[in-house]
Amino acid sequence: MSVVKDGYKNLTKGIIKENPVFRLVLGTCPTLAITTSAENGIGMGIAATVVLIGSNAVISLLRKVIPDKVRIPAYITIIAGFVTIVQMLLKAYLPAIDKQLGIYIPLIVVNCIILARAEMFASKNGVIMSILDAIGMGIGFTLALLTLGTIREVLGNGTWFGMDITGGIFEPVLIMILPPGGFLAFGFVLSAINKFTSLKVEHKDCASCPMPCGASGKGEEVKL
Amino acid sequence: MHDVVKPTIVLFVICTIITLALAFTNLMTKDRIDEMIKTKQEDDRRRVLSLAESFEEVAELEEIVSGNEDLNIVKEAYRGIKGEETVGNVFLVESKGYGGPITITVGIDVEGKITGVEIGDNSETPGLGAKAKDEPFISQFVGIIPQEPLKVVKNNKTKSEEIDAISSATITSKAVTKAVQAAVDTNAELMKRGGNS
Amino acid sequence: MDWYKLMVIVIGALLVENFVLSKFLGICPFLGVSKKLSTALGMGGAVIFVMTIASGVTRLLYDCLLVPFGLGYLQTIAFILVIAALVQLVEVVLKRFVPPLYKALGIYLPLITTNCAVLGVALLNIEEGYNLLESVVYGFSGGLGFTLGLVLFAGVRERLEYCDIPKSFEGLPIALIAAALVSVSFFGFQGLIE
Repeated sequence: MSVVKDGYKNLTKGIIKENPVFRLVLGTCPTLAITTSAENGIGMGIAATVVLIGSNAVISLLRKVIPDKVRIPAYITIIAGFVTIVQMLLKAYLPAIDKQLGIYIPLIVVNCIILARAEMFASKNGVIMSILDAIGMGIGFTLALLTLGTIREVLGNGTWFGMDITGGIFEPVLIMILPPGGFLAFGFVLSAINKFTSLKVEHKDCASCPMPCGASGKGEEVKL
Repeated sequence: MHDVVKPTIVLFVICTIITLALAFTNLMTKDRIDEMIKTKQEDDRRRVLSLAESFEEVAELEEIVSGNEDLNIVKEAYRGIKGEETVGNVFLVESKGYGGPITITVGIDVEGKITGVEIGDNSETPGLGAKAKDEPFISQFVGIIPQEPLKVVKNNKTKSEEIDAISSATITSKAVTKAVQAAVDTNAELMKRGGNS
Repeated sequence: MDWYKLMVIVIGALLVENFVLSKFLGICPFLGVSKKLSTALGMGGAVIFVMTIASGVTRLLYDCLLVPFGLGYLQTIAFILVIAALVQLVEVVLKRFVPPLYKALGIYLPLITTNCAVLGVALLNIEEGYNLLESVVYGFSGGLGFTLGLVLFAGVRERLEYCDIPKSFEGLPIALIAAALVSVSFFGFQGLIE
């Protein structure tokens, strides 16, 4: 029974309680860059989720084989492999999405969320739990991108998934789909989370990221 | 010794397996990717020069555009043929937009009239530059026989050679206009050489 | 040599399409190390250094190894591994031969492997079809643009410390809104390149 309970917990924690974007502030680059429309947000979210599931599963399977010393390069290799596979599949089956997301697809490799889950979860837990964790985190990431994408597209262009939904009641605020709008929307959403929920945004200057990323001083050096 | 050898071997094995997996995926998807691009380009050609029944590649494009800064963005040229006659030319132009390269297909008939412009998949901002695909921007090009160089203007179009920019997407508007201009110039050069025969 | 084109690349990477403020590359360190001006400068220096070298090396790798052998699809994986190894190498070399520089940049170097600006610039060089020189120039000016954004933002953020801010905006939210304003100011450069 407790296995089911654990599984459920691992699956759902990423959606709200430990939402990678809104609570841990990981993966900010794609979060800001591609949320110019709701459709892009979903596309990016799903691509990253697929990579996350694959990498979490493989890393969890290999967790006893990979020597501690080379684990970061090994993780990066595995993640980069999955990213490239996803990229090729997108090119073959959804070329419009691939073009639209551009270099942010290969940049999933350096998305902190994926490496963070590998380091903090998959390297310590079994395959099933790791996959559940990946699905939960992926959904959390996708929902966050969808939220920001929706806010920016509706305010900035008056549309949602390309459909005109405001009926011209207001003139679209162009700035929202321009780069500054990304920062603005993200800032206001985070403050709203602080204000209206009991959850706190836990940005510790990348301290939540296992990579020696940011000035947390916590990370250890990557040894090849 | 052991703690140098083992990590190296493990890392090497992982790299090898991943590379093999990628090679396999590449093998599976490559043909499909090429196929998709080819069909898409054929559709675009047909759409911009609907008069033509078949297309054949123009071999002399290379000598016309090479070394010319403005024209070397024209990547491919096709002669549109109906029955025995050439009815126009189609150009595939790659222009640099705001979010990266944009592929633009331009059709021009034998009189020098622009018969159609198609914007390929691109990384332009949705709602801004990506609007280049839609009316009313793209239709400004269609039907004109440019007598002078095309120019991008903002909201005060006075003649057909002036193209109204998409608001807040001047870079994209200029990129598309530049591509169409390159196609027009290449076409003129091609005609001069009697590429019409 | 085409000075005009190089000039356009530099101004583009520095001002018009600034790496952090308009391309959103390297946001993690942008938010993470921008609290103090001195750390911002250190991080910026390290990024300029690595981006310049990485641009050259990945360009060569792509042209001399990946393309001739038809291995273009290994691009991402090859680049990230090369960047990781390169960062290590730079660290060792600096430590051994240029201790003062190592002292200034050393602690920031290992942070750079996963900085998406570095992998980003390598991928953009390929996408834009820059040659070796142009790639290196783009890498350098991209790093410079990153530093410019980081330093300007650190200046703004240091002042924020003394401001009276609504409780819910404290910390990251107000930093993001400040970043939005810095980003808006960079919009003024948009008309610089035709």
